[in-house]
Amino acid sequence: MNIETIIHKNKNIAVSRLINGNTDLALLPTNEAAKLYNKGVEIKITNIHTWGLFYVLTTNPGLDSWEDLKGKEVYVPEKGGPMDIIFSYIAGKKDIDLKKDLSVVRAKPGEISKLIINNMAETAVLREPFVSQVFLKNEDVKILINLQDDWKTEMKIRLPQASLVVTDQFSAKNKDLVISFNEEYKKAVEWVVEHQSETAQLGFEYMNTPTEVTMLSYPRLNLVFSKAVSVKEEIDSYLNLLKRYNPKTFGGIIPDEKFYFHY
Amino acid sequence: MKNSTSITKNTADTNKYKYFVAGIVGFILIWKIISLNYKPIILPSPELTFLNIYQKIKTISFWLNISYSFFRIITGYLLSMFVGVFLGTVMGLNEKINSLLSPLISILQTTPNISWILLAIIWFGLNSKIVIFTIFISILPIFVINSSEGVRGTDINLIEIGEVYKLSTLDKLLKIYFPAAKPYIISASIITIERAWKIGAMAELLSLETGIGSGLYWARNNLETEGIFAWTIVLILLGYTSSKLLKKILT
Repeated sequence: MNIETIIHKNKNIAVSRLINGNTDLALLPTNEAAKLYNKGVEIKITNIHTWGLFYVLTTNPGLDSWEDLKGKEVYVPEKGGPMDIIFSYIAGKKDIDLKKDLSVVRAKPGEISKLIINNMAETAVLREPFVSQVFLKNEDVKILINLQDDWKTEMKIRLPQASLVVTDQFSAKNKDLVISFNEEYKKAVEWVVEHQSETAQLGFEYMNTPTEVTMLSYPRLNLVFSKAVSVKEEIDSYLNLLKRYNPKTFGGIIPDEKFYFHY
Repeated sequence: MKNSTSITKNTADTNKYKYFVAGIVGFILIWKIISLNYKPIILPSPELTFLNIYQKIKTISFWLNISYSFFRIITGYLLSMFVGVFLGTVMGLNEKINSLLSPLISILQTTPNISWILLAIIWFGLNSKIVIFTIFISILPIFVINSSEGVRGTDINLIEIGEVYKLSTLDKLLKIYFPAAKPYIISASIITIERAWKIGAMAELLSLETGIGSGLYWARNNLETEGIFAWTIVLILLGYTSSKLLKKILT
């Protein structure tokens, strides 16, 4: 199998290539995949491989739990985005009202990372790889809350964050290829989980991620391969929760069967 | 005779107006025809775009975002005008200061706006100052250069008369130099206002969660291409109206 891989700095480029039919397969946040589907871009979701990279970080040693967040200033990126919604939802379950109990500051994740690294912000909600970048550059930082763990406790399901999608045009003609690609993908995910230093080396070669960042992020990656069609319930509950807060995060309609690649 | 010229002038004006409207209608028509061949996510139709503008206008957040941008842009703009005209006047009057500062002004003039935005994020943290500063510094050279050129172009005879009549420095500035520099300053003011809206939106897009720029950011993020079109049209209208309005007030 010969695959041309292109690594993008952000999802917008992958999204634009899918819209224009310049790519056959893409890794995307699950809500982005559903959004594209809802906007009439003909794609299917094949697998889920990342189960949550959302964390609350702090440099304040006095903070140990949700309760301690009350009255504090918390940086939360991407208002109305999935991470904001999950944070708000779990905070609500813990009896914390974002408006009354916290002083929430809005900013972009890259900027928040810089602020924490320079000790200009104390507590923030961030996702990987920003979390590990902060860890590498500020020794005083610690994980205060693992949002996917709390999510699992509250929702009784996992958080299906990232997926592999394929265009209908490609999968219609190359069904077997897509299936064997996913089988290989499963093996690759297992390999990555077991071979930490080799993975870190590859991350440096292909994505210029410092090996330390990859090594540091390992305990937080939540990499498990699942066929999307076999975790449809988890995807539906996730999107349903997003819908309650901001339907625009995934285009508003819970995708039907046609969104799933069956194999 | 006088009558007939005014009539030809009137018909010329109505003709100009007709062509202007025809240009816009033609443009929308072409846009519509091309959009028929594409999904709205790639090229939304004019009606989808105007519907989106209409829906936006009905929300409070639309007007809030516009007010945020307006406040930031006007602040940066006025700040730049005052500092720029002051610096330009000093440079126009004093050759030494002019030589001292002109390399700096040239550097400012060629520094990309995007660099200012990135630096402002680091210097000021995430608030309106980023936008105000970026606008201020990006349009400052235009005010400086125009006003210094205006001052330097003052009629030498008038300056001599001022000397003869022993006018105070303030009087010389207000009665001799300022009237000479005025057309230059006015043209700088009109050029820069449209630019200020564009730079402001770009700075907001890259740093803030409020304002027109953040509206553009979210439209892209939500794959609402019609939203990107809608905000762009709003931005064009605001830039165009403010420059026309300024022209009317100042000239």
